[in-house]
Amino acid sequence: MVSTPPTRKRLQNRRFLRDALVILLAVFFLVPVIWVVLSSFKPNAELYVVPPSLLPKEPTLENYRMAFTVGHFATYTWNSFFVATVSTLIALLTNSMAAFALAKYRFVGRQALFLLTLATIMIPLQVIMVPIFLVLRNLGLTDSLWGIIIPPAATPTGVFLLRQYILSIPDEILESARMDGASEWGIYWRIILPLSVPALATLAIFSFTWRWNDFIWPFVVISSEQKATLQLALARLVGQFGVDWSTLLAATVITLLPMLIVFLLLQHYFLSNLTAGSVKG
Amino acid sequence: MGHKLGKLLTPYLFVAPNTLIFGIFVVLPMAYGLVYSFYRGNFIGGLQQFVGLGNYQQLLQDRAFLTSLSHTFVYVVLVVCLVVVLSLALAIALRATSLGTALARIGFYLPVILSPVVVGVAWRWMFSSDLGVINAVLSSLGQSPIPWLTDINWARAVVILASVWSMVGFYMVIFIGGLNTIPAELYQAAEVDGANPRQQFWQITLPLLTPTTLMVTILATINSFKAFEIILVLTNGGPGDATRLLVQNIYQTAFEGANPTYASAQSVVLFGILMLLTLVQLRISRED
Amino acid sequence: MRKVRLLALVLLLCSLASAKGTLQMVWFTEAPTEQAIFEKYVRMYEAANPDTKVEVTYVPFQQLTQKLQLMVAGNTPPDVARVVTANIAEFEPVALDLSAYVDSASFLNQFLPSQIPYIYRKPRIIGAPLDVTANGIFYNKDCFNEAGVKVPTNSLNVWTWEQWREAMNKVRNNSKCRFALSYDFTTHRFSTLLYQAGGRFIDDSGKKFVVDSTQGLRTLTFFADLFKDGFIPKGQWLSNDDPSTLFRSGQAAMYMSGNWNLAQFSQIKNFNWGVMPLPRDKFRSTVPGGKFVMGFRGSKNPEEAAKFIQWITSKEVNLPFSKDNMVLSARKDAKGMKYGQFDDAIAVFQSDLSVTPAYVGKDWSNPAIARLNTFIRGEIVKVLLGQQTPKQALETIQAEGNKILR
Repeated sequence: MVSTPPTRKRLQNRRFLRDALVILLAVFFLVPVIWVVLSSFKPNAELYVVPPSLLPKEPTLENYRMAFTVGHFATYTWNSFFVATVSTLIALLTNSMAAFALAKYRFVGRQALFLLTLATIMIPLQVIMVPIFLVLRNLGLTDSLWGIIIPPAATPTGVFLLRQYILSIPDEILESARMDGASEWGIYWRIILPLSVPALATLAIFSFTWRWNDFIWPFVVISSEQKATLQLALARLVGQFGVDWSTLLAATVITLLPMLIVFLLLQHYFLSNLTAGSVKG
Repeated sequence: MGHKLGKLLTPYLFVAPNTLIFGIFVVLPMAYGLVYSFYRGNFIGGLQQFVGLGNYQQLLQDRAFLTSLSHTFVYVVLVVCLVVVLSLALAIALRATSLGTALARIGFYLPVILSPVVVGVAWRWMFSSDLGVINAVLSSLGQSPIPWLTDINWARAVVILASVWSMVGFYMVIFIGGLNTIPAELYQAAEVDGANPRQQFWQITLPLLTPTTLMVTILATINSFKAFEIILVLTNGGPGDATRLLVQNIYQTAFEGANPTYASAQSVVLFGILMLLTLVQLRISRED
Repeated sequence: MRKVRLLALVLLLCSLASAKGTLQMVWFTEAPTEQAIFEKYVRMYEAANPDTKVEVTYVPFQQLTQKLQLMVAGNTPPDVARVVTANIAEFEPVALDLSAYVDSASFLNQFLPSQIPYIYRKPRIIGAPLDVTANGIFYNKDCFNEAGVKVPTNSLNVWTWEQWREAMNKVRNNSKCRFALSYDFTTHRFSTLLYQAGGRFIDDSGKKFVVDSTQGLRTLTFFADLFKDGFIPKGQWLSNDDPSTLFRSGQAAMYMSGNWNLAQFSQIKNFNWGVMPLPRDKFRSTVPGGKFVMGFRGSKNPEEAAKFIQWITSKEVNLPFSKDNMVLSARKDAKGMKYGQFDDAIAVFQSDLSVTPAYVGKDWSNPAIARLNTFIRGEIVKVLLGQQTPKQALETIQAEGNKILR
C-alpha cells in the first residue's frame, strides 16, 4: 500500500459511491413497503390483476376517501394519538427512573427486580388476556383510554434499553454532583436525563410505534366506539369472508405517517455522533 | 438516622412506579396464569377441577405441542443469528452521518413501524405460489414457479426471512446507539497505530459493544420465541403445521380449543425456557 | 379546579344516562358497508324505544369468539351478540333463555325448520336466527363460455361428481382460467361433499362419530385428488392463500363458498359470474348455516335484550334488513322475497337448501364439531401433504371426536 493520504476528491467520490450503494440496498429492502404504498392508489379491481404490477395503471384516491369514511375516523385517530403520546411520556419517566436505580444503585433485590423486568417480556400477552381483563375490570379500567395507556407504559424493553445506556455514564459524574450537594432526584433529573437523551429518543420512537400499532390492549380493554383506536378499526376491515384490501392498504399508509414523522423528528438525537461526546463527560 | 434511611429507600422509590405497574398488570395476571395451569376448566365454567401437574404430564405426550416447540427452537436460532449479524453490519455501515446513510437508515427502519398484518400481507404478495410477484416474474422468464409457501422447507425459509426483515431495523437502531457510546478517540488512536478497519472492528468495536450485543441477543431471543402474528398472516402455520410455532399453538389451544388452563401450562413452560436461556446468556457474558 | 368539577359533572351525567338502560351489544362485521347498514337499524330501534340507548362494540369476525370468551370469563357478558353456528353451540350453557319472554311455539314457528336445531334446546330457546346461509358454487361465465361447457341450469340436471370433474378439466384446459376451482379452507365447506356422498360426522344419537365410513373415505379421496390433479391450487389449503381473491381476479373458473359473498361480488366488473347448483353424489346437499342473535345469562339488561332479539328477527325488521345485506332471511314468510339483481342466484341457493337432509344441521349444531373444526381441517391437510392416508385421517378424526363426546 502506498501511504499517500487520500485526496479530498477521492474521499468525496468514495462517500458518494457508498451513499449510492446503501440507498440502492435500502430501496431493494423496501420493495414490500413500496408495493403497499403504490397499491394503495390502485382501484380495487387492479389489485387482483395477474401478473401483479408494481405501478398503478389507473391511479386513484378513492381508497383514501373510503378510508376516511370508515366509522369515525377522526375519533379513532385522536384516540390513537392521545394514547400513544401520553403512554410514551409515562414510559419515558417511569422507565428511566427504574433504569437509573437498576444501573446506579446497589440494593437488596436489584438482581431480582432486573430479572422480573426481563421476565415480563417473556409472556405473550395473548396468553394472559383473561386474568388481565379481570384485573382491569376490578380496577374499573375497562372501556377507558387509561386502561390502554397505563398498563403497557411500563415497557420492560424500555427499562432494559435505558439501563444499558445509563451504565455507560461514568459514576464519577454522579459522585462529584453528590459532593456539590445535589439530591438523588436532582442527579436523576439534571444529570441522568439530559445525558440519556439519545436513549430516551430511541425509546420514545419505539414506544410511540408500539402503542400506535397496538392491537391487543385496545382489543381487551375497549368496547365503545367513542374510545376505539385506529388499529381496532383497521382490524374490522378484515371480514369473515374476505378482506377489503384497497381500503386496508390506504388506511395503513395513513397510519404510517405519524410514526414516520416521529422518527424523522427524533432521529437526529440518537443517530448523530455529536451526542456521543457529551456522554463521556 | 432519617437521612440514612432515606438513602436506603431511594432506589426503591425510583423503581416503585414502574414496578407497581408491572406488578398489577403483568405479574399478577402471570400468577393467575400459573394457578390456572394446575386446573382443568374453560371460559364458561371457570376453574372446574384441580389436576395438579396433570396438564404438564399431558404436555409430554402432546404431539402438536412438542412439534411446535421443536419448530420454535430451530426458528429462534436461525432468526437470532441472522438478526444479530445483519443489524450489526447495517449499524456499522450506516453509523456515519451523510444524507445517503440517513435516508438508508430510515429505509431499513421502516418495516419496524409496519403492523404485523401488513408485513404478512406484503410478503404474501411477493411469495404466494399462485398470485405472487416472484413466481409471475419467474414464469415470464420461462422458469418454472417455486412452491414458496406450499413446500415445507421453502415456507420455513420465507417465514424466517420475513421475520428477520421486520426486526432488523429495530436492532440496527439499538446498535447505532451502542456504537455512539464508543469514544471516537479510540479509533483515531488505532488509526495512528496503523490498524486497518478489520482490526479496528475486532479489537475495538466488538469488545466495547459487548453489552449492546448481549442486550440485542436477549431481546431478539425473547421476541422471536414469541413470534406469531406475521406467521399467522403469512402461512397460518402451514403447510400443515410446518411453520406453527409455540405461541400460535398456545393461542389456538386457549381460544379455538377453548382450553385456557391447558394453554396456561404451555405458557408456563415457555416462560421457564426463556428464563433459563436469559440466565445462561447473562452468565456467559459475566454481566454484573 | 373548575375543569375537574366540570369533568365530574360530565361523568355523573354519563353514568345517569347509562343507568337509563343501555343495551350493550357485540356485533361482528363482515364488510365495512355492513356496519353502516346495522347502524341505521340501531337508530331505528332507539327511535322506537326512546328509553334505551344502544351501545355497539364492533369486532372483526376473527376476534369474535375471543372477545365473547373474555367477556363471559370476566362475568361481564354483553346483552346481545351476533354470532355464528359455532359460537351458539359453545356458549349454550350461558345463553339467555328466551322462552321466559316469548311464547315458545309461536316464536319458533316463525323460522325455517333448518335453523331450529341451532336455537332450540328443549325447553330452552338460546337464540334467534338472523339469516340462513347455504354453501354453493360461484362460476366465471366467461371461462365456461370460452371452453364451451354448459352449466346445469336447474335442479333436475345437476352434475354428478364425475361430470363435475370432467367440467373442471375442460374449463381449465380450454379457457383463460388457470385454475378450475377455488375452495374455502374450512371444514364446513369440505363437509358439503361428505353429505353429498351420504356420509356424516355424528350419528342420530348425537353421541357417536361415524365419519370413518365408506362414504367418508370416498369423499376424502375424491377431495384429495382434486388437489393432486391440480384442479384446486394447493396454496389455498396449505398456505393461507385467499380463495376469494383467486376467483375475483378471474383466474379460477369456480369458487366453492356460499351465499354471503353476493354483496361483495356485486362489485366484480372484469367478468360475468353466476351461481350453479351443487353437484350430487348419492344425494344432493348443501350445508345450512347462519347467523344468530343471542343474549347471555347474567348480563345487565336481559329483558331489554330479549326485546331487541324479537325486534330484529320480526317480519317488519328482518325482511328489509336481509334485503339491505343481500342475505337470505331465516323467516318462513320471507319465501318469494325479491332482491332485484340476484334473484336467479338466490333461487339456486334456496333449491339446494330445500333438498338438504335434516341431519346436516344437527351435525353442525353439535358443540363437538365446533370444537373440532380446526382439528379436522388439520387432518385433511396432512392427507394433502401425503403425510397420512385418507383412511388414517378419518380414523384419527373419529377417535378424537368420540373422546370429546364422551
